[in-house]
Amino acid sequence: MAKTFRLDILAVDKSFCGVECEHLIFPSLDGSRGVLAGHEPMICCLSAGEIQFLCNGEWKRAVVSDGFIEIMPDFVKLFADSIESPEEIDLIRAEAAKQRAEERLRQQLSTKQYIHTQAALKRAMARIKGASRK
Amino acid sequence: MANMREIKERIASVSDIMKITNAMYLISSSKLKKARDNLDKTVPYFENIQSTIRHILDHSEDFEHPFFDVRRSKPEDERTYGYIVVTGDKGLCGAYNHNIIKLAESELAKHKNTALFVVGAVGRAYFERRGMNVDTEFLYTAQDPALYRARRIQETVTELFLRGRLDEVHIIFTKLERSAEIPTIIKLFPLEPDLLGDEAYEKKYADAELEPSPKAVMDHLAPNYAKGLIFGVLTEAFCSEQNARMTAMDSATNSAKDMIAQLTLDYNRARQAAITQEITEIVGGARSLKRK
Repeated sequence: MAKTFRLDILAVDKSFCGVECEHLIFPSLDGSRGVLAGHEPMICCLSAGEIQFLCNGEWKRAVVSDGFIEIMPDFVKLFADSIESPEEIDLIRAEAAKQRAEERLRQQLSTKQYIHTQAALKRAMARIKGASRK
Repeated sequence: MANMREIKERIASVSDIMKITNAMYLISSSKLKKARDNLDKTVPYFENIQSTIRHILDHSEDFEHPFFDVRRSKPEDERTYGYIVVTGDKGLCGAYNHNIIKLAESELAKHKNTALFVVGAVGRAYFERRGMNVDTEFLYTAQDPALYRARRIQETVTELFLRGRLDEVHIIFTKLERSAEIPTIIKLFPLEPDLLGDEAYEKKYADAELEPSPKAVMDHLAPNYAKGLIFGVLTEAFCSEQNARMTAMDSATNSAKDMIAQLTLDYNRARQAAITQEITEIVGGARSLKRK
């Protein structure tokens, strides 16, 4: 068995899981990144998308929204606003949220509203993507 | 001896109020259960995020960033201190609102320029009446804390802080410790490595890399941290409020019960006295008739 590290995934409203993990893939601001045990210490930002982690020889997936991740050689802590496993996602709600966001984007918005809407759209897209690959 | 009718009315009104306090007790205890569940879920995040931030600050090299800018060069009379004060939306929760307002006032008295951001209607009404510098567009309820609300609050204060309108931001809220509510202050901005760092902490790992760049990471991380913190604070304050209301209403119900017991005793005494008097009168009347 490969070397493992401790992976804690924490959302604002729940602690999603704490497991021994071999391999973690997460979306950062500049693309996907992978982490193995013994990674150099690193602090990285998370963007909305899908994370994958390998524990006990099995790949697990979850959909995360914005957050950040602390990587140390023997543990990783992942903080996000929300974390859902693909089974938990309400596809209909996500679709509705996506449509709503797209509609709002077509209107003239202030910069702040534009950023909000875009973040909402990104979250919805990540959810839809995660859920439809069940 | 008090009038029987008066005592009866008094008993009726006390028992009516007792019905209300009892209902409020039940409502707040069920709300507390839910709030406590939510609090238990946020606590791991809340604690971990604080230790992680400290960890991150310990493991990253010194660098300049607006969020760490203490603005030492600014003289005290020009500095503006921002306070986010979390109160309840309603009264009838014992000393909960009173304690938090008292703490906020003693804190406000220390500085010349202050700005208030009040969550909850009671606190807002109080400070507005006092003519304090309350942000009138900062309208948030203390009920059912939600992440999006924490995000809005964070955006408001972050923007003001970065634009230099606020030089320090503190949060005043009520902490729940072993079912006792304790008003607390925590500092939000600027982030201070020395304040966060605790002495006993040993540096276990080499300096961490900040990817893609320290600035980009901090740009993201600081607001995220603030948002997490604010959410944790709102959840905890809401939980404290419910706990305070539950205790207050419980003791109100109990004292209403005591009052009713006392009043019933008084009523019975008055009734007894009235009956005795009537009997005496009748007996007296009968006796005087007999003599004739």
